[in-house]
Amino acid sequence: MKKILTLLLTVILGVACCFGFAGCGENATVKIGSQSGTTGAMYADCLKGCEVSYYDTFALAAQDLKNGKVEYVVVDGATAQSLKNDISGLKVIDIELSSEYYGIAVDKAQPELLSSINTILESKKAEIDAIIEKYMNDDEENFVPVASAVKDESKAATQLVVATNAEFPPFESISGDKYVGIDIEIAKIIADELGLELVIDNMQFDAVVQSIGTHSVDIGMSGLTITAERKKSVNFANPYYIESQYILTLESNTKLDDCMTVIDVLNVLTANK
Amino acid sequence: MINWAEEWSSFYKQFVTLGGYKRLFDGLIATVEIAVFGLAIGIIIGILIAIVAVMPRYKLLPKILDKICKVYVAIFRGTPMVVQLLVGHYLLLPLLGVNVSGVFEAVIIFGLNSGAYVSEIMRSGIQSVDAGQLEAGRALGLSFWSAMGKIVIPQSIKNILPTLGNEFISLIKETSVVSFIAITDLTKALKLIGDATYHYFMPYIMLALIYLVIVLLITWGIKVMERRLARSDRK
Repeated sequence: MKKILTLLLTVILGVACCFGFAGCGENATVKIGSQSGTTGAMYADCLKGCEVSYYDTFALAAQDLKNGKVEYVVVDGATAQSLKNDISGLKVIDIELSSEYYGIAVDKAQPELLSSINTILESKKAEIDAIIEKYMNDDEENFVPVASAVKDESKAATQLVVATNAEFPPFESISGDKYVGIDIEIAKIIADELGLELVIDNMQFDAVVQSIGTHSVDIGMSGLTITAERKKSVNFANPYYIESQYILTLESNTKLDDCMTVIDVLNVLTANK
Repeated sequence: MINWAEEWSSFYKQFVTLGGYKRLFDGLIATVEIAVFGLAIGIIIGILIAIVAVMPRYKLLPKILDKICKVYVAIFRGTPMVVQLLVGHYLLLPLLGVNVSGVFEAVIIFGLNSGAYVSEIMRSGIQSVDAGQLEAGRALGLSFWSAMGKIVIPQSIKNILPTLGNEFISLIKETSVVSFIAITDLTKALKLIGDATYHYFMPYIMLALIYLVIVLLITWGIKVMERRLARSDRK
């Protein structure tokens, strides 16, 4: 018994040591980070021979990019710029990986809400374009922080509950005890037009589509790309923004500097396989 | 209401047709790896600390070592696992400037965490052996260390091993938080399968079942071990 136990322990420790050395060695695969549930993560997922790390927020992914844990982050263009401005030493590779439309996700059980949102998007187009313009120019003076009312089930008929993941500047982020961003200001316009009280329900990004699907919120605005898979769970209003996926990397990383097209980028990223 | 047919068909498509089972397999390996190697490191640290804890107190060195161990145990038992992972990943690693794989990092942090618990298990196991046993050994002329090693520790193992099994169970379950530092473990793998279709019912049921099966297997192992250890007990 004693001998068996000693042997077992030695084997476990031996393997643990080997494992330890393996962990220190440089890994040949390209490491890509993204936020789980986003289009960027799905894009990275399709790259052969790359190891994808799924973060809770893009900001954490960018932090790990800076710390050298991942080499590239696949992220929506506007957010890539915003991260580059906030965290020093990062650069955005100026090649569009894929194009997509952002839309407002609406509860499938409320078709009349969908049509009224589409009407508002049509009639307030100038205002919405001005909002997008001011955030894209980083015109911080004119940002309007929006306060959220408290969610109250008994007042469901007079409240517009918007699901968002407020960690996605410039579309939505937290500013003190209020919320700020393109989606937030558009949500305010919609709520005002409908004569409802605006409730912002801040949650994990993966939970946004899920909670609209289970009817616990009315709409979702979180820089949501319109995809076929999401359309099965929610309805989408007409798109309000065209976005692309970009690659964020360290300024010192020159591997992608000579790339001219998406094909070049993909060749570099999947060179190992 | 849950549409069973739809839940099942979307899960089947993700899991079998599109190869989601590979993701689950990788996640399962990561989970087991972290728990097993974490416990291995924990046992080493636990033994070291337990040795310090039972050393005679009349010299200076054991006193200092004991203080250091107490601080270590207090820190790792006094903070949640998630906080230790976050501090380790986003604060300590960049400060130290080392670059290791995510799973390795989790193994180290889980090892340090379980070391604090295992040391307590071992200390209480050794102290549960009657003090008279050590005194008898010393009276027969054995040195402190040989009395410890030949008389006290063999008896204490009987108390320690089953409790170590319980520590392994809680470690396996605690690994479900490693997705906080972007490791794809079992929990994250099945969550990703759910994210792909927005149908979470089947993945989460499966997740619960897998953890349950793992824990039941370990429980069974502990039972077998306890029965073997109880063979020499007075009936």
